[in-house]
Amino acid sequence: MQITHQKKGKYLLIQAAGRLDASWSDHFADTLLTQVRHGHHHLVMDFSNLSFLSSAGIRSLARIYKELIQVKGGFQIIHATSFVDNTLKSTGFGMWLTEKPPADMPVGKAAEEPVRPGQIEFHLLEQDASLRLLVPASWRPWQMATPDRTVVRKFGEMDFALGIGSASGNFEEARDHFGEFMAVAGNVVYQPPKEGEHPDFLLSQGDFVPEMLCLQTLQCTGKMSHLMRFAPGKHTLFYGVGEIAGMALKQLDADALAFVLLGEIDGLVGSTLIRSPGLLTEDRSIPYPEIKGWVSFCAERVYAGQQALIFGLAARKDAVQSGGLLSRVSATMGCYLHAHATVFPYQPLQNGKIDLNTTIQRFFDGAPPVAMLHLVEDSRPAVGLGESALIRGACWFSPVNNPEGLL
Amino acid sequence: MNIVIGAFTMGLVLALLTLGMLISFRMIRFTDITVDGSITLGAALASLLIVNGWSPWTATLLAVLAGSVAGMITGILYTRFNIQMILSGILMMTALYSINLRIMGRSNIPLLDTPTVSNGVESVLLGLTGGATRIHILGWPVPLSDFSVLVSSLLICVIVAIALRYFLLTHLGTALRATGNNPQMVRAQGINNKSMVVLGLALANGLVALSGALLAQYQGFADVQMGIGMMVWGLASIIIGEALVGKRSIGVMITGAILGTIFFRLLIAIALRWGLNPNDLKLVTAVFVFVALVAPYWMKLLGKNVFGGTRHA
Amino acid sequence: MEGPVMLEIKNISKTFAPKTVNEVRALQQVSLQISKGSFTGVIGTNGSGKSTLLNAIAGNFELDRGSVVLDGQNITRWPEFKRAKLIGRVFQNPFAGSAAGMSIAENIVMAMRRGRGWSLRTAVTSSERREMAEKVHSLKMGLEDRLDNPIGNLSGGQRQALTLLMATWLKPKLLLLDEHTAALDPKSAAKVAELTSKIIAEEKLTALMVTHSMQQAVDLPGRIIMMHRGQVVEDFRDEMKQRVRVPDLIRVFERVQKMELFDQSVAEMLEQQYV
Ligand SMILES: Nc1ncnc2c1ncn2[C@@H]1O[C@H](COP(=O)(O)OP(=O)(O)O)[C@@H](O)[C@H]1O
Ligand SMILES: [Mg+2]
Repeated sequence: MQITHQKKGKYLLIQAAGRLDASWSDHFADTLLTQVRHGHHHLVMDFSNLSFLSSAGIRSLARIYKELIQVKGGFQIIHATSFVDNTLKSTGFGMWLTEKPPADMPVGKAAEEPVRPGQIEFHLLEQDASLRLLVPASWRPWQMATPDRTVVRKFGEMDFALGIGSASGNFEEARDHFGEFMAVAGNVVYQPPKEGEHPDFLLSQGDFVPEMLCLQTLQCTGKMSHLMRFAPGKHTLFYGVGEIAGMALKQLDADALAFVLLGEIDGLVGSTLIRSPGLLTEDRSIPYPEIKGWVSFCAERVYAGQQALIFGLAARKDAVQSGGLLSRVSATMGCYLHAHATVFPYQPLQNGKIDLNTTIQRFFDGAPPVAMLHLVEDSRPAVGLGESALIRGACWFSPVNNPEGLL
Repeated sequence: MNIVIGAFTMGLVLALLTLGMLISFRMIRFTDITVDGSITLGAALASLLIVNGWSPWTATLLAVLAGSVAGMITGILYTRFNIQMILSGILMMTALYSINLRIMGRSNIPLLDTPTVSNGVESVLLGLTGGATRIHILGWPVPLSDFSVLVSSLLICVIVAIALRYFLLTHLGTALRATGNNPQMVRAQGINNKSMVVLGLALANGLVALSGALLAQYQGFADVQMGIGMMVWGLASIIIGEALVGKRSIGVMITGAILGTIFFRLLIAIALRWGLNPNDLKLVTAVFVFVALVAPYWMKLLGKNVFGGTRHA
Repeated sequence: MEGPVMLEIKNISKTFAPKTVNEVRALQQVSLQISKGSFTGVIGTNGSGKSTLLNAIAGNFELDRGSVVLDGQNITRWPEFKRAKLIGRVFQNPFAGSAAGMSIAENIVMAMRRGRGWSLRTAVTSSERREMAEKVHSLKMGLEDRLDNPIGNLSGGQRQALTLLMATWLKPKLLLLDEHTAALDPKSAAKVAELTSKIIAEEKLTALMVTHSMQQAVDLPGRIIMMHRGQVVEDFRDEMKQRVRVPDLIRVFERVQKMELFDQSVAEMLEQQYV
């Protein structure tokens, strides 16, 4: 079987020739799903040369259809041969068939795609929306965790947070379990401080509001004012997290902001607590190699191709004095930053202006998160892994109107 | 006819050496250079004892034991002191050169009119022929003494061959053969492969010394130089034997070694008869072994080229 | 549910080529207890010391330190061939476990007498041949009619099956398997693996099996130990073993690897960035 594709306006025209049967259906679905992943959500399938369609073939079409529906896309089949036409109609998939290509699809040879350095678009969501920052707990490595250094916080739909905490109710229980966590719009993901353990999560549902015993927290409450969409272009194949934050800062012209970033991973660089700071018996510094027992480092760029949900705070480098709980190393675009990332199995994102809560909900309703990282920029000369980067996705952000705690 | 009888007798005597080397070179796969020294050791010790009035049988038996000890020492050098295979043999062979000179006290012991192991056979034959000192074989007159040496060599050779075959098929013999095949496997079966190497070399050099003791009695002297080149002759015999009958089973291999040695002695006798200078004999043998060792490889190359060529033509 | 201890390894260490540039610390202070009748899988990256561990138990070399006690006997100073009376072994190389130039029967007969000392009786007798044919028949490879063929003429899978049979002929105290299916084609590998499980279960053997297949390790009834750099870094047993799946093992591998790459420079970088 032969599959060719051609970009025509907002549509991708697929021409499939041969037999779409059990031996080709997986290849067909994988090829088209890759196109979906590349952001083509409106497919037109020209089946004039498709001589045979089996049930396996129909199933692969259904798989693609389901994925497209998720992102408010779709496909239609044109020029079906009578065999394919009959098969689809008699199996109840006649609605995929149309007589003609969509009216807004350009005819004739497609024009060369214009070369774009990268594809970035900004959407204004709410003119005056902003976030209030709260730093209720500010543990620094490697202080001993004590009850008076912790605080219980609830995270509702308007709350965004990151830090170190435990889902256990009281300090004694939590002592062994302090680890990284993040909260996005009432969804809390936390990483038990044990190597190889999957992250766990708590979701706001009905009356239940997730609650964490926090040792370190940067919390923002409010709404996101902007949305930025990014996709690779001819010259930009991926976007660093710091780079995205930098662009957002420029867009807002603010000193500090918080952002939620959702996108396909090019590679993440980060570390995770693997031993609870609750087990420290004094404030001290932990030298190498003992430190290896307390935090893990990813050692290579990880989780490529999966989807990251990142919450972070960033401040313009020249506005920062002490740095607070922001990383003291300058990120690529001249900002300081603290971000935690949760890794989910890949799901496509709808194009255009999308809603934060509904989009995120889809991920929490799907397969569970795979991992959680505190992102770092590995700036070691020669061997450094650089910073975490995404290929395409969405970034919601809003200025922080009381940034003093960060600066 | 005397030449043929001589070649047969010589072949049967040296077949014992070949059988010894069959154990070292083929069973435990040990390239054992001790052979050149231990055959002389057997000859020297047996001659000395016989000259000093010992019974030829006792003398031969002690020669065998001495040969075994020499083989054991080579084996111990190799297994206990981790000296390379060839070097262990060279060390022992070199040491034996001095030891043999010491035993003999000079470089040559003639055995004139001394009893030999074939005396018994000769007296039996004398009784049978009624005192005649010549018998006729295929119409040729043959001295009875020569014939009795032939018969006694044949007897000894057959007895040794049967005993060796039996031994190699026992549990111990099986372990010995496996040692040459795959020492790791032998250890995994709870057998000390090092002991097997020592045992194999003891047996091998015992047989070589037996061959030496009989050779001295047959040719009537022991010479400190007599061992030079013996290993290569033995190897040539093994190769010829394998070419003659193959190596399907232990019995076949033993038979092959004996036939190979006799055939080889016949070839030498014929070559000498045709005027080959005896001094060139060792060179010729060395070339023969060389060719026998590399021929299979050449044949394969040749076959490939010939058949490969015709197929493409 | 665990039986009495069959094998006890205490603090064994082995360094190859010590004090040279090629120095390899193949075993570092390894301690391990294997209970009677258990079937333990050994996994780990290449060069992590799995084979060296098995070799140390089998006695291929002298240990630098530590002791090995098998079935109550301290065998630390025993040479390899003596230990073979208690230990059955199958190697990765299907040609390593049998003598190629000898017949199937002659190979087996050595296994039938393992550890009973030498004898000057004929090795392969008709009664032994009958016993062999019966057991070889259970392999269902048709080899019982070919007992006099040189074992070298058989395929790797057939040889490995026979080696396994030989290693377990006289119920060994301990069976050591070192990636014994790795060099076989997939079909033979599956067959030998199945045969292994069957024999070990039927004879209730205590076994230690190195495997590169994590699935195979997970499927084992017993326990999984993971080695890295000459040390046992993970030991899944009892309930943990019940729970463990291949992805879990992969994660442990990754963790160990991450630990490896976490050096001084990473520590310094994190000191700047981990807040
Ligand atoms: N006999 C030996 N001499 C020198 N180095 C050895 C020897 N045997 C093993 N090693 C080294 O010890 C390390 C562990 O090897 P091994 O136990 O074979 O690893 P694996 O886990 O792959 O079986 C390797 O680095 C190997 O090179
Ligand atoms: Mg190995």
